[in-house]
Amino acid sequence: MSTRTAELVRATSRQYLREPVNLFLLVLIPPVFVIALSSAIGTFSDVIGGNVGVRAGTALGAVWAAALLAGLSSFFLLRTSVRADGRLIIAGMAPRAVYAAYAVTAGFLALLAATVSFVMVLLTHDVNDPLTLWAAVFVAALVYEALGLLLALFIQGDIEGSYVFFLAFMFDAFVAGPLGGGEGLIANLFPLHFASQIAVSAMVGAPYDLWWFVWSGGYAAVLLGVALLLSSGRRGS
Amino acid sequence: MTALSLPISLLAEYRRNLFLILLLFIVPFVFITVSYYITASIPLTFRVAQHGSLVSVVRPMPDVHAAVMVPITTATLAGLIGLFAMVEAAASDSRLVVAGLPARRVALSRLTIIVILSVVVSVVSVAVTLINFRPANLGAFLAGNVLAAVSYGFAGACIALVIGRLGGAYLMFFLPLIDIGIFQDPMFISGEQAVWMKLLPGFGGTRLVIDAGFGSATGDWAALSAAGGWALLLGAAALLLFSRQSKG
Repeated sequence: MSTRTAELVRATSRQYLREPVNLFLLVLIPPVFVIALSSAIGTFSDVIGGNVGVRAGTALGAVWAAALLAGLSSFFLLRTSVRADGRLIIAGMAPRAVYAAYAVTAGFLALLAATVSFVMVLLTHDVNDPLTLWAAVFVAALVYEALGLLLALFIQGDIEGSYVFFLAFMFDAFVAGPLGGGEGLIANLFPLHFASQIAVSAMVGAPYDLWWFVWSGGYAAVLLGVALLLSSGRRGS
Repeated sequence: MTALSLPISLLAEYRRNLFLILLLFIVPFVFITVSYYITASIPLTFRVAQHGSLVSVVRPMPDVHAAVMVPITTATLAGLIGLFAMVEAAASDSRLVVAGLPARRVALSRLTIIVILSVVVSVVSVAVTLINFRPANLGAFLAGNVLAAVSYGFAGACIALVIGRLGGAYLMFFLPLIDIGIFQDPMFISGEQAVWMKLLPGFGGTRLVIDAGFGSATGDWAALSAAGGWALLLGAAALLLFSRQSKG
């Protein structure tokens, strides 16, 4: 990481921490969401054709909370600073370095959201394979962080961005994941599909394929790579 | 300048945004229709208001899902509209006040826009659900959804003014899902709801939607009062907060 990128990572982190309520909510929302959802998901899965119990439902709650918070963080961090970043680019900073700085900062937030969500699951239920569960929640957060960075390149409005996010999340959660019993090629292509499968498997002690991790990590890497590549063409304003 | 001329001119930025208009149709359509078709066709027993008293009814789960997905959708979409409309307004409208427009009038204009867009979201969402599900009392069904949407639209506006863009986005994604999507949903909460669940902003509107969907909803004054009370309270809070910030 170049000195300029490192400085921008520090500046972006300071910008995030300037409003401590953001950090407070990032830490508060996952426990509330995980607890509220844990019992409900088991019932709901039967309704929409899946086969998810309370423990597995809790793991899914952690995956969703971490992914949504990470995705929203990266999208809005980038959107909020679009004008200031345009000036940095005019001043000579490479657009790719600017994006890399946001990717690193949002990565820290993804790590925090994933860890808080994971700890909440650990405190409330028996987890068969804690390390794998944590890794699955973190990789889910990374995938949505990358999705947020990519969407921020194309979508100029806050409302439009949040609606697209909402739509993507609903498909991921209710159609393509274990909750809705999503399987087959189309379900596999959704960002959270395999991360959710790993999380459920880790929670209940079911076998999982290491390839699922490679796919999910690769998914995040590809989204991030595309965002960095496309950002190269950005002009300052 | 008439009372509506300011909100109408401020509304122009939304009218010009084709992508947003498309999303206002696409998101409810996809969200509500998919929910209907993925739901297993099993019977659900729950309670609704029928001519002033609560009775148990048995209805197919897809119908219940189609009905309850409407206030979840309208509250979430309107909440995000309220949040970001007010984030933008907080940044730009103080100039209108400096230029001489009364702060309260500017604030009322922004809240009018939130109400208009909440009604649009509600009408689209109700129209989408009518493809698969016919509520027993369409007028009350629409009213319940509008009230849920307006309440969350105003909640989004208050959150924008107190918390700001990013923290507000965190909250407005999760609050309607937790309130209406879990604690007001008869698929999750069977029998009598806990008192604290009835104190949430989504209670009145969703209760009205369920009663109007499957009962008569006539004489459902408790639900109507709760929904109207939350909308008025949150609207007044948003008006006060925005007027103060604009003057400052």
